[in-house]
Order: sequence, then C-alpha cells, then structure tokens
Amino acid sequence: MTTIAASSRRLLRHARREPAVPAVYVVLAIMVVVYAVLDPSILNSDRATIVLAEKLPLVLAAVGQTIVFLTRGIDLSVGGIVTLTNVVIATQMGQGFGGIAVGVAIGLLVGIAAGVANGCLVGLVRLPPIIATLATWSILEGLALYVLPQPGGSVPIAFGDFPLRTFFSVPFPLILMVVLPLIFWGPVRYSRLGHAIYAVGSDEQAAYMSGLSVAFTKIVAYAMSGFFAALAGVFLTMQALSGDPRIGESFTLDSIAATVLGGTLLAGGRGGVLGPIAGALVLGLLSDLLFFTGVRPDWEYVISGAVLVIALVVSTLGRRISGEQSR
Amino acid sequence: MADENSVVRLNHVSKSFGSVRAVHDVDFSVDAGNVEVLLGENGAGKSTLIRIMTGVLRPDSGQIVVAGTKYDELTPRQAKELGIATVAQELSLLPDLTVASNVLIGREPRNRLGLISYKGLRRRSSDLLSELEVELDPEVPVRELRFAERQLVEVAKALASDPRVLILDEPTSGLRSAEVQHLFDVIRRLRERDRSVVFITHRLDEVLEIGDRITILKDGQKVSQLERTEADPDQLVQLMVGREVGSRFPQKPTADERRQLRQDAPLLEARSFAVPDTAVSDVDFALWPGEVCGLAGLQGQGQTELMEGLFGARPSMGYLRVWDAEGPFEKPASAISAQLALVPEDRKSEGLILDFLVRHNLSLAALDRFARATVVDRVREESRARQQIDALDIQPPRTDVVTNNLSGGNQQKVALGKWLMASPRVLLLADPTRGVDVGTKQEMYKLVRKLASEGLAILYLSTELTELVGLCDRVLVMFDGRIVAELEGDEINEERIANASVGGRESS
Repeated sequence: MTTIAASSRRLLRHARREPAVPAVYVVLAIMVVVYAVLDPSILNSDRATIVLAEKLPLVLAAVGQTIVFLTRGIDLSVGGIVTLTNVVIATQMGQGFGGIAVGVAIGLLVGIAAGVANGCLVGLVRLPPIIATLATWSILEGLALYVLPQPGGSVPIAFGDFPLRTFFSVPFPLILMVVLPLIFWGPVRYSRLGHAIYAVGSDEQAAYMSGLSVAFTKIVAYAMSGFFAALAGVFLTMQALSGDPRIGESFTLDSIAATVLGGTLLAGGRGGVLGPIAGALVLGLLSDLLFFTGVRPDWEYVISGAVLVIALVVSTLGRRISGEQSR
Repeated sequence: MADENSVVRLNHVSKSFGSVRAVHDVDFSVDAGNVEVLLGENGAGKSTLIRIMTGVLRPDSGQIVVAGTKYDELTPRQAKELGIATVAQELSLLPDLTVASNVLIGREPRNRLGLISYKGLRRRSSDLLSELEVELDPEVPVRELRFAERQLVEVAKALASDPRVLILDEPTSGLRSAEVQHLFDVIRRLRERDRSVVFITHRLDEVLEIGDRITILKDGQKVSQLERTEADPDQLVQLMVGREVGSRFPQKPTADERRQLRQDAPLLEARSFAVPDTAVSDVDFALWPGEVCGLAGLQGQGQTELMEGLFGARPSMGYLRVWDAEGPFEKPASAISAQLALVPEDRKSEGLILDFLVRHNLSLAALDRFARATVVDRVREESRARQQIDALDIQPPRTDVVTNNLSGGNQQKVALGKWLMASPRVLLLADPTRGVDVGTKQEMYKLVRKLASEGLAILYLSTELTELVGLCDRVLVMFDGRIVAELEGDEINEERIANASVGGRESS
C-alpha cells in the first residue's frame, strides 16, 4: 500500500512539474468527445481501428523526434526517412511472410542507417543539427526519387491488413502506439544511455565533465529517431499499399509540432515520449475535425504550422508565467 | 624524487591562454593518504592546474603521471576512470535531472535486465547524501535546489565513484560552518582509507585545520611547498601575495574627501528594488558621484541579477532613480538613455561582437551619436574611437583590427570603452578583471579610479576579496539576493566581507 501511495505521490509531483503532458491529454480527451458528437461511428471499434491506424505513423515519427529533442537537437530528415522507407518497401517487398519480413527489415535498416549518419554529423563532426539533418533530408528525398520516380510499386494486401484488427475490441493501432515506444524506447530510456540523453540535453558541457560520451549519446538519439521514422514509414506503407516519393512530406513538421505539443522543450533535457503520442493524435484528429466542418484538406499544412506556433507560444508563456528562469 | 608514494603527479606542466601564462612549469604531486592544499590568489593558476589534472584542459607541455603511467593529456572520462574525481567551482550538475540521477550519473545501479534500478538509485544516493549528513529529497530536480545544496550534491557525486583522488575546488565557499565540518569529517575518513584529497580554499583557518601539505602558487608558478606543521598564517599570506597588499591599487580618497562627495545628491538610488524570478529583493542602496562601490558576495547570490535588473535586462520592481530618470527600466535602451551603463560579466557573449572591428564595437552602444539621419558618420566614429583607444591605452592602438585578435585584457578595455562612448554617469562593472593577467588588472584599477575621479558613480561587482578591499570606497555584500552588509572606509577588510558573504556566519 505504501509503495502505491509513494509512487502515486511521485506521479503527481511529476505532473505538477511537467504540466504540459496532462494538459495535452486533456485536450485530446476533449477532441475525442467532440469527434464522437460529430461522428458517433468513431465509437464503433472497427471504425476507430481505421482512424487510429491512420494516425499511427505520425505517433511513431513524433516519438523519434522527441528523443532527438531531448538532446537539444532537431531531426529535419524525418520526412525523408519516412518517404525512403516507403518507396524501398514498395519496390523491394516480396510475397508471403518471408518476403514481407525481409521488406520490413530493409526498410528499418534504411531508417537506422540514415539516423546513424545524422548522429555522426551532429555528434562527431559537430555540425548544427538543423543544417545537418536538412542536408540528409534532401539526400534522402533524392534517393527516394531515384528508387521510385513515380508513385507505384505494391505490397501484399495481407501486409496492409496487419494493423486492422482488434483485441477484445481494443483497436490494435492503439495498442501499437503504446507498445512500440515501450518496447523500443523503454529499455533505452531506463538504461544509463537514457540518462545520458537527458543529461546531454540538459547541459552538454556538464555531461561531458561528468564523463559521459556526448557524441555516442547523440548518435544513439538520432539512430532512434531514424528507426522510429522508418517504423512510421512501414505503417504508412501498410495504409497506402504502394510507394509514393512524396508521401512523407508532412512528417518533418508534423512530428516537430507533435513533440512541442507533447511538452518537450526545444531547450532539451525535459519531456518524454508520453506527451508526443497524445500530441500526434491531437494533430491528426484536428485535421479530421476541420475536415468535418468543411475545411479543405489542403489546409492541413497551414494548420500544422499554426499549431506548432501556438504550442511554442503557449509553452514559452507558460514557463515565463510559472516564473521559471531561462538558462 | 620520492615517486612511489604519489598517486597523481604533474611534471613540469605549462598552460597559456593567448598571451596569458596561466600555469608555468609547475610540478605538483598528490601523495596517497594526503590532503594536499593548493593556495594562491585568484588567477594564480590553481583552477587551471586542477583542470589539467581532471582532463578538462590539455597542457601545452609537461606530463600527467597517474599510478606510474605517463600521459600527455587526459579526457574527463579518462580522469574519472583513473579515479580522479572533482568538485569544480563551476558545478557540473545537470539541472533537469534529479538529485539521485546526478549523484550517480554514469554509474547508475542496474537490475538483472540491465536497466536502471530506481530503487537502488534512490537508496544509494541517499546513503551518499547521509554520509555528508545532508537532508535532501533525492527525487527533486537539481534546478530546484539552493546553491549550497547543489554544492553538496556535487560532493556526493564525486564520492560516488570512490575516487583515489578527490579534488575540491573551493567547496566551502557557500557552506555554513556545520556543513563545512561534515565535509571535513568526510575528508578525514577518506584519508584514513588512504585516499587523497586536493583541497583549494582561500580560508587559511581551513588550510591549517585539514591540510597535510601546502603548495603555494603565484602568477602561475609554484613558489613554495611546506608541511602543515611548519606553516603559519602570516607566512602563508606573505608567500601568496608576495608583495605588499595595496601597492598595486591606486590611492583611495580620504575619509574627508568621501564626506565631501556625499554632499552631492546620489546619482543612483534604489529602494525596495527587486528582480522577480530571482532571489533579488528588498535591495536599498545609493551611489554617489566619484565613488567606487564594491558589490561583494559569493558566486550566485544575486549580484549579476541585480545589475541586470538595474540595467533593464531583466524585469524589475521597486523604486529606481538614475540622475533625473525614474526607473525601473523596461529595457536596456531606456537605461542607456538614462546614462546608465553595464559592462557585463561575460564579455564574449554579452559585451562584444568579437568578429567586429574594434572601431565598430566601440561605437555600438552610442551609434545615434555618430549617425546623421541614420547613416553612421564614419569620420566621427573613427575619431571618437581613436580618442577612446588612447584614453584606455588599448593595444594595439588601432581602430581597424578584429576584436577577437586582441588579448583578453584589451578586449575587456574595448568592452569598457564601448560604454564610455555613451558618456554614462553611472557605470555597473561586472567582474571586469576576471581572467585577465596581473598587469592588466592594475591598469583596470587605475582606470576605474580615474573614471570615478571624473565624477562617475561606479558599482564594481567582484568575488575577489583583495580587489574589493584594495579598490573600493564602500562595499555592499550580498547574500541570498539581499544586501546584508555595507562596509565603508576602514571597515572594509577581507574577514568582514567573507563573514557577511555567508550570511553572517561567525568567524572561525
């Protein structure tokens, strides 16, 4: 009993220190209610499964982006990784279980390789992340066009059906949103490496003075981001069932917006992946809601940009009001 | 040489920063089970020596010998692995991480899965903290702690690695006397276990209480080494300073002259002045023309924030008047037009644009004086810059060199000159002699005194006691965001400032 009391006290205290995370979940809850009023069919678990499967790629990309944010970095190549993974899978995936597995593996390796490259540029060569990842983004987009100049390619239908199922009427994509970060980020977060990631974002010089390897930590963070972006590409391909060299366009900005919405600061060192999961869902549901109200889908870019600006303003003002000193 | 007993040895190490020789050909040995004290004035090279030993700086020449192996340089990681742990003056804590994570960073206890055991983390960190007899919640982020608490966390962090050599760089400066005694108990326990400690302090009583061997540095060189048994305080001071204190400072005005100056109205008056979001509150003081008023205190007691608040670089509240302008100022531009100037602490990031020519840096704060219909009048800019270079004796005496190529001391003069171009009445100087060599320091003192004699009121922030005593007519001491003491004339001495700096802790 006492341990439950102690851990819930810790949880509460954590929530007080990082109010953005509970806040974004409250926003999400409100949006779900509004959604259900406008379109009650969402409460049907099969329909919910389809809607959530649509949002899953951004959730994953945002988790990756957040990990880089924690080191006080930014990954502008996320969109490029999503695209390249998509076209590689669409052109390389074979039939049957074996073919699918090989296709997914190749896609993920592409993402990890791109992430490691980013990590080396930022960690070892010490390029500013904003430039380094912008350059890799361009390279990745170019490679994607080389692999697949026109939309095309295909993947087995069975691959596309993978996330579209429910367990005890819980939509599978919802489970994946929680479980995938838990499996792949959890062990890193709760190892020494995870502490090092927070440490580097908190104060790079102090982390170095504490004997941590700043370069290696950054490489891991960017590799994780590349991996999650590739996972996003995999699930995006399941929806699209084909390749498209422009498919990942919106992911860079949207993953950044979801990260900021989720309460992770550009200044690094603070935040976590719980926030961006909700942040990505808020962003995804918002465009649906606006679609219901008759806003044309082309406005999506305007909306994500505006959401990002608003989230930044709110988090900056919030910190200023709560009287926190900027470092 | 009796090398067998030494755990770490520095052989003939030298290190220069630009033209400043920070450490020159120093031999220093740390023996097993010994408490080695490094003594010297600020700028004598103590911290540089420590930073070479801990791998933060690479020596220009010389070697580091650890347990018989020679190294040309170390990295912080290597030093740590070799068992050299340090509590630096600039704390190396990670503000966003909890106390527990900070104490055990890089050596977090792990469970069977290889993940961090948070239970173990809490337990191990509270053990280490309780060894220091510190009551701290291990789960609070470090950014929420007071300065003294952070210092103790830093000590616990250093102890976590069970180091062979523990280096403490002025660890007691922010501690209360009970806390200092706990720290000394820990040092004694380490000594009993044959561990070594390198201890840096300014307080001679501490040196004689805890030190085994005392090494004295002056101007980057080792001038003497003695056993505690053969040391006495007067001799130590003599060796440290190596000259008559006071001779390097310009003549101060006499008590009569000071009274004369007080006849005028103060140029700056602050009442119930506060800087929200910082500890600075309830500050009352005034500055009279012609005086150099010191702003003393330990690092991080709000001195910098007070200056920034006065200057409008931070939002502030309360009553403030500068000459005929009423504050508090909302932005530096308003303060500047009220003829208030701030030469900030970090001239690299705040005071100067290092890639600019000297001329452009000098004119930056007073551009509207040279501008005709917004176009800068190059001829006037040039001639005013030249005047300033002559007045401050900036070397080389040229307006068209890139500021970055000047020595640290001359950069500091440019930073000062930049504000003098705006003809201020009140000058706020934040640690203007930090990191400059002795010669430039003396010039700076002369300059400050000269400016005061021309009728400026000067607030002079410093953490160096000798400087405050030697230069200032009056000293305000800050502690925890408030002015806790005001010393004037003969009342100004190192002991009184030091005592007030720790919130009035009795002299020991």
